[in-house]
Order: sequence, then C-alpha cells, then structure tokens
Amino acid sequence: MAYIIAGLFALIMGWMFFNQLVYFADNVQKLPLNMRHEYDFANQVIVKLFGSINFILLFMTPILAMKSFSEELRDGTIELYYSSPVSDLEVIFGKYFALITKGAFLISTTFILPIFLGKVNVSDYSFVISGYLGLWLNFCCFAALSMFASSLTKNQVLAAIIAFVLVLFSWMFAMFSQMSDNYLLSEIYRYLSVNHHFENLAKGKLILSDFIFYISFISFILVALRVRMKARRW
Amino acid sequence: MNAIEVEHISKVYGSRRVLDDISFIVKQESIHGFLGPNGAGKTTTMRIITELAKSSSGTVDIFSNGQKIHKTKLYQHIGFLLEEPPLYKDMTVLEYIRFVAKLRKIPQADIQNCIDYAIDALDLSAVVNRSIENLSKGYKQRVGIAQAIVHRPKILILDEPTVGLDPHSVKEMRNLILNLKKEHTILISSHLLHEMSLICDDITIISSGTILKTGSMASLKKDLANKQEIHLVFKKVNETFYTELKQLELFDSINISDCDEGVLVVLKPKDTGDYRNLLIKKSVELDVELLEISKKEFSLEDLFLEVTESHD
Repeated sequence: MAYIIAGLFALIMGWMFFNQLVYFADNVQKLPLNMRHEYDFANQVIVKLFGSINFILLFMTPILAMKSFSEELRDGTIELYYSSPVSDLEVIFGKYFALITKGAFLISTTFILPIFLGKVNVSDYSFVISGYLGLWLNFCCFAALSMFASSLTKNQVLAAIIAFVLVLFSWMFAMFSQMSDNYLLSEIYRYLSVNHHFENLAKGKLILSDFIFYISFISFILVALRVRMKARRW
Repeated sequence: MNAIEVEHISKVYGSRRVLDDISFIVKQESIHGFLGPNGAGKTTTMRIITELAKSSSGTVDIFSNGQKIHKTKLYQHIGFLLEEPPLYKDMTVLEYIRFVAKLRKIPQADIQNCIDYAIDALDLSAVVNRSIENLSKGYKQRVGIAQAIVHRPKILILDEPTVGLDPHSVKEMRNLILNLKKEHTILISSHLLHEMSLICDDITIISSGTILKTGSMASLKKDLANKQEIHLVFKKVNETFYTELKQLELFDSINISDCDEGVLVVLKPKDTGDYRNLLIKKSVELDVELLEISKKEFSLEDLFLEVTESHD
C-alpha cells in the first residue's frame, strides 16, 4: 500500500513540476531579454512545488495512516499490545515513528526535482532544505492527526475520512484568520494554522516559534491519542 | 497456593449488572472449566482477570499474592487467548511468533527456545513457514494459543478455544490442551460440555453474572451420580407395590404416571447404588407385570441445563 501511494505521489509531483517548469519557461519567453534574469526561478517554481507537495500530503497522509489503529482494533490484535509489557506510549511512538519515516520516504521521492536547480544556476539551496523540513514537519502534524482519527473507529475508510476532515481543519485555520475582524482572534487562528508555519519554512525562514508550534501540536495530539487508548481499554 | 482467586467481583455497565459478586478459585496445575450460556459473563470475567477490563468491585489475586500485581509482572504470569485469535494474517507463523516473543520482551538468548517450545507444544512445525492467512481455522486457533504461551506463563486463559472447530480438530485441541497442563494452570471456557468433562479437574458454572456451582469435577460427577433415576414400566401397579417401595426407604421420590404401555414409575435413589435387581425381584414377588426397567444417568449437559434454567 505504502509503495503504491509513494509511486502515485512521485508521478503526480513529477507531472506538477513539469507543468510549473513549462509555465515558468512561457512567462520568461514573454519578458524582454534584459529583464529575464530578474524573474525568480526559486519563488516561481520551487516554492510553488512545495505548496503542491503540501497540498497532496493533505490527501495522502490520512490514507497512509488509516490502518494504524483501526485495523488493530478490527482484528483484535491491539490486545497483543495490551497483554505485553509495553506501555501505550511505546506503542504510539513505535507506530508514529514508523509513519513519519514512511512520510520522509514519500517526500524523498521528489528530491530529484530540485536537482534541476543545478541546471538553472541557483546557488542558494538553503530554502530547499528548509522547505523540505517544513514539508516533513507538516507531514508529522498530519500523521499525528490521522493516527488519532484511526484510533476512533474500527472502520478504515471512516478513519481516513475523519482524518481528512481534521487535517483540512488544521490547514484552514489561516482562512478563519482572514475572515475574523478581531485582531487577537485573527492572530490566534493564524498561529494555529499548520500552513502559516509551513509558509515561513518554504520561504527559507527558520523561526523558533514555528518549531515550538510543531512540537506542541504533535505532542498535544499524541497525548490525546494516549488518553483515547486508555479510555478504549476499559 | 491457588493460581487465581476471584473474590467478590462485580461489574456494572450503566444500569446493567453483568457480574454480581462472583467468587471462585483456580488451583495451581489444574484445568479449570468455566461454563455458562451466552451472555453469562464468562468473557467479562476473563477480561477482568487479565486486566483488559476493570471490575466495579472485588479483587483478583494471582498466586495468593494478596496484593495487586503490576501489569508487567502480571503478563509474565498470564497468557491468554480471548475470543478471536489476535493474528497478523500477512505474516508467516514463525514471523508472527517471533514478533510476539519480542513484544513480550523475552531476553534475546531465550527467544529461540521459547519459539521452539510454542511451536512444539501446539504441533505447528508443519506450518511454520506458511502465511497465517492460508491456515485452517483449527491451525489459526493453535497459532493464537502459541502466542499466549510463547513467554511460558504459569497461567493460561482460553476463551472458547474450540468454538467453530470440526469434531476432529476439537479432539486434537483437547489433546493439545491436556499436554499444556504439564506446564500451565489453565482456565478455559467452552460450550462443549462433554469436552470439558474430559479435560477439566475443576469446574465453575456461571449464569446471568452469578456463580451457580463451583468445585472439583469429581464432586460434580458424584452429584451427577446422585441424580440418577430408575425408570420402570408396568402393565399396571397396585397399592401394595407402591407401599413396599416406600417401606424400602431407598428412594427420595417415587413418581407414578400413565404412559402408552401402562404405568411409568420414576424412582430417585438416595445414594448411588444400583437397585434394578432388587426391583425386578420385588415385582416378581408382588406379581406385578414389569415390561421395562432402565437407569437414566445424568450428564453434565443435564446438570448444566438444570442449574441454569432453575436460575433463569
């Protein structure tokens, strides 16, 4: 399943990257020769590519994570963990690290694309590294939410749907921020949006508050998952 | 020392009382049968013993320890298979047992020995490299028991391990369970009462969350023997015969009713003695025409039905 998803993901990303390159080349052609060097390849292609990858992860992560707990609940294999000298946290972290490693593998299938940067004389690779870090951290947030959704039901499809709604919600906080007239509320919404923090990293900005947000967000969801597992047991 | 002491356990879900102050003892190195109709509370009791569920009140004492054992320690002592075996169907039998052995944190040096023990005890050597998905129900059940004993617990708890198996597999399972008795104290629930009577040393009968009977199989068999009946069919009987029977003072009850062939007399002896010869002699002596005489033994099924129905 993970290989199929990785294959599909690589295919979609390759196609998106190709389209962005073609679009970029068309736009450059329309510019006078002396202005062409000012048209920013990094912003027009790579940052947009990160946005596309992030968008696709929104759909892929719930599918990758949907069976993490719901299948164990359906088949009764969760009781193997309950009957073993392993703690709930060990089970959660084991599954979570496996999932975010899968996520790293999934994202790594797109590494081939920025290699093209070498061909267009881009010298600063730092925004690529921070962009990929942002993508992976976003995946970590989506994975935590999706695993939590998976612990809510024995039905994998339902788990994926719940996960998708939760992930979408975490994405759309930024939209709520634009809709709110209250400055304080608007700032809170903006801070709670996963995408707001990702945008900074995608532009190459490493800000401490973004990392604090990612760590607290993931920890909060994993603690909620632990509470859910404990409640389920009794 | 007892392996398990269940003391005054109750379990309430909302307003529904599933277990009502139940107590019983599982002796060490014995096979203890846990009988009851569907919904009697067998699985709930087993889940409480294995700490997969919390009781509303009461305690479970393992090895007369007198205090609550930490979960880690408890699962060193107890292995269990409740309801469906918890199998990863895409693994082979060997991969699965190895995975469970690692999950149970068996020291690396002992893992191979423990895996070999589980495979031998459940006679799985012929299928170790087969995918669990392709195994028959009987073998899946055996793999389920193998995961329960891989860490060599002293107590093994099995919930309906023979349910859904064909008679041949049931017989095989019976022999495997009898073999497991050498190393484990076993608490087993089942609907197959005859099977239970063949393998169990002790038995507990539960119905609607209440313990109706608990004790050794030997005492139960004695109870059963005491419940025997003698059926006599006469063309007709007279008052003298009835008086003579009463004067013998050997029977708890004498019931006389009409039947197709004449009169049916049902006698319940006070003890386990066989009085058929005596009754034949008496009927000849008193000149009553005896057509048929038979002894009706009480089976475990009869006892089970009697105690559960009388409780309902």
